[in-house]
Amino acid sequence: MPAIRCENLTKQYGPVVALDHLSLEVPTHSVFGFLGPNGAGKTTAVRLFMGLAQPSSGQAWIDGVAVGMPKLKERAGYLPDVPAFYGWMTGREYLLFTADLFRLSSTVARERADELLALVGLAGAAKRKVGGYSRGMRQRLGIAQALVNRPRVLFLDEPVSALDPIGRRDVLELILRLKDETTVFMSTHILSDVERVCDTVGIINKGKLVTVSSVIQLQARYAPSVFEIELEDDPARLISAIEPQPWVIRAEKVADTQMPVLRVQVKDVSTAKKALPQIIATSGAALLRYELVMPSLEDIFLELVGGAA
Amino acid sequence: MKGLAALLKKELKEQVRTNRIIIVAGVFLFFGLATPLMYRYLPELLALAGDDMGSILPPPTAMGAMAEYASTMVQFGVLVIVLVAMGAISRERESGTAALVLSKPAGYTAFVVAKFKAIGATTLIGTILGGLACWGYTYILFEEAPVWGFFCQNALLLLYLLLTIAMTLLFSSLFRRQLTAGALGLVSIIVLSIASGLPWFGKYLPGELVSWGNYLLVDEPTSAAWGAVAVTLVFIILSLYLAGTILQKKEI
Repeated sequence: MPAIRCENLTKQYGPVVALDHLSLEVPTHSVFGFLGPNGAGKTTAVRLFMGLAQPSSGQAWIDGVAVGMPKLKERAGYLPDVPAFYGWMTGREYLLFTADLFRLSSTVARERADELLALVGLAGAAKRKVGGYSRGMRQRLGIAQALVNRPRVLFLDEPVSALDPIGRRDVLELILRLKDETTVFMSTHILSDVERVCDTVGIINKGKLVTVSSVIQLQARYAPSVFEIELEDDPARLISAIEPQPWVIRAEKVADTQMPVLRVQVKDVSTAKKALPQIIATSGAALLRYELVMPSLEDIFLELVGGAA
Repeated sequence: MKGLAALLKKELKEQVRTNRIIIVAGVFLFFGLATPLMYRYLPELLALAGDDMGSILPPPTAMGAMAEYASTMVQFGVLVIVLVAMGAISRERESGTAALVLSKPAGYTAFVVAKFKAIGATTLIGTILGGLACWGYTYILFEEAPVWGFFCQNALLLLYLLLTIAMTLLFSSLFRRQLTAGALGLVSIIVLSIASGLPWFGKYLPGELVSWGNYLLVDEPTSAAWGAVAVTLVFIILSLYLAGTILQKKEI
């Protein structure tokens, strides 16, 4: 049984289709990255899964429970993109209140609250009012409150976007550790986070799911391979020699480096491996570096969403 | 109603921590003390100001002071309660705090009912303090103060205020802007109170609670308005039920 399954999940706001027939299956104990530019429909999808908005059509099941069933809330954890708390409560009080909603006994609740505060690095601020918390501290408290019930499925909407680099590393490491006990559905627009922690990635743009695949498969399938060639002199002549070749997609000069670097995207790597050095040699250019680079998720992403990000 | 106990505990704490209870109790206490005093010395104050209206006014009585307090609270009490209740749900939706709570095992109706009970408790405390202050001060100033009639009048006033809370919460779940919720809560309670002047069915409307209270205070024979009491209770339950149902359908 998949941890998350949805069929043709659609949400319309008037004429705007925020989510367009999303069909998806996320296996248990995996970290699923839901990737897309701002306004792609990521938050809408998460809110539909949590029952905080009603779908216009379609259905979804979380851990086998149909979305909208009260039982679901016992099993899921949720961190919204901008978590909001009662400013008059302390961080610890908020976790105790959450534990109370899950009907944990007061002893268990206190233990769980302290354990989670330590886990997200808020032990020192536990007795301070949330009203005085920084954006990053609220985000950490948001993660803690989503874990109170040891959820079977955890929805994190942009979990690290408000954090500084250290906080970000901590939270991503935490997500990796959580994988053993829960399934994580994480929406983000930050590609490097997906590359770091996600097993599978779904790319969404303008409400539509563009593709779902493992990160490795995605790199193999979508992005053309790229050769980086560094020369001592201007690569213009070389570009004109490479571009007409049938195995080439694009050859361009990358401007932002001291030495002119030539990036050559190819369709057929094996042909290019043999042909490219020959062309360089024939051109008489002084070669400094020649490298076959793996495509980054960013290349794939930009290609799939057409530069919308 | 899932999570009612936890939600109620939180709401009651909120009433205390955000000083709502102090504000409400303060307003009731102020009018409880000020009304008998103003009422007792109004003729003299007017005379001092050189106005001979004072001689036309009937001599102030304990009953008059207490009736004056009740009619003041029907206005100012309602206003304060609307101000406290109008943002209760809309502000939580607007700020996002509701989204976190309602993604937990907390029912929508429980969410509304917990707020009703907590604001109701604050109102109860305010009514008791204001009533005691008014009764005590009236007794000091007039050397008499009816107990039973005044108690009944305040109980009916409390019921009227509870209806105000329920209706304001209904509008607070309907609208994201708390001012809209407050304005509509206020307008609907005013309309209901005006409508109680209408022939034959008017006496079954909540506004009738206020005039029945006045009769009970002066111990004058009148037909009991149990019908209005029943209708008010139905309105309260209906408002809370609708608020919960609407909230469930709304975007949180």
